[in-house]
Amino acid sequence: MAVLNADERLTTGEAAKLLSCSRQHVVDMCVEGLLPFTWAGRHRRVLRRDVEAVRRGSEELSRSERRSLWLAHVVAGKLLLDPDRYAVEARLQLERMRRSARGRALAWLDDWGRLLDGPVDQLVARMTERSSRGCDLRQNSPFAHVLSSREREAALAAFVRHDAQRSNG
Amino acid sequence: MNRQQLAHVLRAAARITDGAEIIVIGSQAILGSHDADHLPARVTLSIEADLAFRDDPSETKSDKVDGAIGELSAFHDTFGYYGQGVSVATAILPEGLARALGAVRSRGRSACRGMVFGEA
Repeated sequence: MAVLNADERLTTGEAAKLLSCSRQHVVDMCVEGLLPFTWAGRHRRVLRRDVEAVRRGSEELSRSERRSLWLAHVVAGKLLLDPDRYAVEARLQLERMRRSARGRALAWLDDWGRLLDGPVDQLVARMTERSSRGCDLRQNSPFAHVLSSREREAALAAFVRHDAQRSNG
Repeated sequence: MNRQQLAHVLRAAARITDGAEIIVIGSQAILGSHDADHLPARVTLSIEADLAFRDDPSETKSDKVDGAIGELSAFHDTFGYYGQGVSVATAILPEGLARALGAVRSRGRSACRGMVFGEA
């Protein structure tokens, strides 16, 4: 049986494999202080224990975070039906949000801006991430206009049923 | 979100839950003692207020609030901020810390009371 060394230093590529995300995402987490790192020459190294902590954190969402993620999946489904339309509307919404945003919230809005300028499949992947970063991003969503009240109501009712089954199962 | 907006969210949440006592947790709780304009820019204030309810074991109140004024709701779309109903378990306080809760009161026709950390 292999024993994993928690103090093992991993490359960002190895960490990306463990977290099932891109290497760039790992680098972003390092830059933003979400994942401690050291330098090995010009390359970042992260401890296995820190990567595992990020992975555990992303698996244990609170109920409200799971509810938010559920809604994000529903929004993602609509985005994929008409990406251009929703991207235009979301950019306008981002501009409105910027007027009153401050601190870290501005950085999240910048993240949304970059995502809206990129391919829609990457946007959908990021907005449905289970990581703490994904949770933060969703809390500052520019997609409040996408779901009708009826659709949102139906989505929340489905979540409540799903969550009850999950708790009983 | 600023203090006035938090009061707006609290009034709406109180109407939805028939005046239930609300505990504001998360980053917005600081608005109980300081308005956003008096906080350093590095302080993160998001557009959502996390609201929990003392007597809500099945999270019915939390779900009602989230359904009416939560993330991606018409309320969120209209005002640019929202109230997120969260589990009361999130708001369980270490012994003695409950005394540190201060009240944010909203007066007028839709008077309500929310509990936040710090002196309100």
